[in-house]
Amino acid sequence: MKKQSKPKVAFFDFTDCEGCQLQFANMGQTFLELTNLVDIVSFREIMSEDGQDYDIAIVEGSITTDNDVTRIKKIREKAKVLVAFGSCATIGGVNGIKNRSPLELAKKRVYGDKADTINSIKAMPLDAVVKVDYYILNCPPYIPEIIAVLKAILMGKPYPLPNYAVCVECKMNENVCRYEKDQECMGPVTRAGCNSWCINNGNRCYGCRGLVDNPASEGAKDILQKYGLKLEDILNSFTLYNDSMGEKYDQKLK
Amino acid sequence: MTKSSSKIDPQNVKVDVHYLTRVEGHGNIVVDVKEGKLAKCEFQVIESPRFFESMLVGRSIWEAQHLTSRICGICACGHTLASIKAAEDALGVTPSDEVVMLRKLLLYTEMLDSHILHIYILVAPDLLGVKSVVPLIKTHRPVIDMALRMKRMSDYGGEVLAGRHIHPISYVIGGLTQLPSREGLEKLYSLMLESRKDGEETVKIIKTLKFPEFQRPTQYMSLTSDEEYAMYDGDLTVNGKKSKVSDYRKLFMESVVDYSRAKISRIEGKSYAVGALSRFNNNFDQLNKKGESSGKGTGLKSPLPQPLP
Repeated sequence: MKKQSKPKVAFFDFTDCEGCQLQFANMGQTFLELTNLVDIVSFREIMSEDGQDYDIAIVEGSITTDNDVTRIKKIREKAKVLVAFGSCATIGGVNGIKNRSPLELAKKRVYGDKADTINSIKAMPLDAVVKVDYYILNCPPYIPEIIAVLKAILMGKPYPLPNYAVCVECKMNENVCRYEKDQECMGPVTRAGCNSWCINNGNRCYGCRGLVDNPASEGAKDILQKYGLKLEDILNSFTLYNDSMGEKYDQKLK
Repeated sequence: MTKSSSKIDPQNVKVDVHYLTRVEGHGNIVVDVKEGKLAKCEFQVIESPRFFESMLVGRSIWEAQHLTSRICGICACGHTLASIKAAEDALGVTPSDEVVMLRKLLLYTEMLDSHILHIYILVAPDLLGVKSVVPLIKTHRPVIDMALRMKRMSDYGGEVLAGRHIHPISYVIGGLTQLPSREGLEKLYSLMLESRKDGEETVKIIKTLKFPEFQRPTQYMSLTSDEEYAMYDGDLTVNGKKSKVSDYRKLFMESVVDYSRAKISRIEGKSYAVGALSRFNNNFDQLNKKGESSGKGTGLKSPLPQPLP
């Protein structure tokens, strides 16, 4: 077999907490094995090397400034494969909440009389600006899923996202339904793939993976009715991570 | 900059570091000394503004911790617990002793995780003259394996106590959504005991490293408590003076500057340090025996005016 050079990988962060990249450092020995398969040329959070020549760009964070728009377009031009990494990059994540109130108000609340010096635009997921080839969902990303997507990329295959709800995984894990505990859970409409991480730990689903393609919204409404919950409360709760998706999601849920 | 950098003319210094690396967040450092006069000295936090204070307006108090956790993925447990404590204070909720102990344990394992990451992955490359941990994987494999073994232990702490360190799941106002399992805690305990030798080895390794000579005494601000080496609870202490956490706004003066998206915070008009060094300087006497002997092993003693490592 001919020896091929290893694909070059670069990590980039936009508006976010950088917890996604940290999941790579948290992979332990798997991270060391990964360095046998790819050359990591840029990874600002843990490296000072800054290679400008790369094949695969793994990008976390939302687009929230004019500079972000220019920068992501440049990355897209250079990268053969662009991966949106984590909730902020794939669905806007918590950054989307600022889209709810007028930007000027948000600026004023935080920066007071210096509000005018702040550059900020509507928070957007990466694919609102550039084409995205692979999606790694979740806040923070789930390590088994990161590995599954990386394998697909290295084999040159697509990675089809699960198109069923978190409830499927949650049932397999034999959790008691959160609705039985009088909680509003986003599991029935949220895309699976996290192995119902939050519910396994006694909490509920907050929808950090975004909607399944065809959420069973009528079924979800039946659940709400059965447990005496209001649609508005659920929709409001869903905005914790999904506000950037705007109309794209509104139609599907209502 | 070190003393040995003899080529640098101290009368005329120009530093322009664009995009600091091996750190969470985006920052530039700009220093300009002209003919012995400091013309400019700025730490520019060029992070895109995120508007957390504004995001929280109108959200449920039960969501607040999820939002504030997302300020930083490295210290998410700290942000989560601070938010929970504030919410409990507002609601008049007192958590049980058991809950407080679990919170402290979570905070300690996060702190361990963060410090292992800091020492071995973020700082070590500088001291060994390379740009990142990647070349060290080849040249210092046994040490890297040890660091990852320690990190696995602290990571496991996050997993068993809260589901994960990055944006913990099970810690909420008043308690936990689910208690950690007995098996999980027992495994964590044995991993911690095993990790002691790695910790002692770490002290030995650190002693062999050469740190740049740099001293900068400042005001050290940390929590202090009569009960313990404070990290979770206590009084805000600076220059031996104590304030209640609820007097935060009286003690700290925050202001917005043109060159940075992060606010500048001062105590009595002067800059101050927080974090491990401040805790060490303010609470040195309360280190437990093991910690104290490790401190002595490195020759460190409070007060320490050195902001490195």
